[in-house]
Amino acid sequence: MIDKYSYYVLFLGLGEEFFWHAPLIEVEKAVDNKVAMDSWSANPKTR
Amino acid sequence: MLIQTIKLHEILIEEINGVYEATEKNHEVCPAMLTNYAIEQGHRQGLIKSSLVSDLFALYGSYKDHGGNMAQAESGAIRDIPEGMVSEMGSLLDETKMTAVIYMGCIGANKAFKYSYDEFLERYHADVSEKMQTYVNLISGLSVNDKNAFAAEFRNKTQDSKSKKK
Repeated sequence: MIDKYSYYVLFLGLGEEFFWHAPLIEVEKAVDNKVAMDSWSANPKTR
Repeated sequence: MLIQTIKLHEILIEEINGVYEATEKNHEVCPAMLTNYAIEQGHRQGLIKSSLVSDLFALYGSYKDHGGNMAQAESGAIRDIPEGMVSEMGSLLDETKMTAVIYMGCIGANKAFKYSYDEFLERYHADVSEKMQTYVNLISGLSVNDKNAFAAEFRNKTQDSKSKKK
């Protein structure tokens, strides 16, 4: 769990309350969205 | 939504007209869903030792083998468990683990769940097939398989701009 916490909360910036107490499927969707948005914004073409 | 309803009640043995009978008392209903807090509590209390994700993969495999509706499974909810799957999953999973995960679900939906695991066991009397259905619905939420349109659109845009660059 500590690895998941480190990646989701510390690295991706997910809120602590959301990480611990939201339904897992919602947490996973939020992470999925964040990773997709980060990939999009890191793409040189979108800058 | 993957919030499950758990029915709890106590069974008391009472003497009625000189005969002992089991009577149900103190019925209550509580919600259950898995959260990271619930899983962490489950590990800390020693309720589960293995990963639930491996169970999920076994579950999907078994569901597919028994002609289950994978589109339904991928949307995070398996409604009707095929008959053959019940016996197969019964050999893969023990009832104790299913009950422990359902208890964890109660902790997930109620941060200050008032019952200890032992107290919960005294009040949870569902049969195996009901436990399995609840368990399956709870762990289905461990992976995002349904179409996440928001993320998919960002991925498409990222892919488009990558291919244009070439």
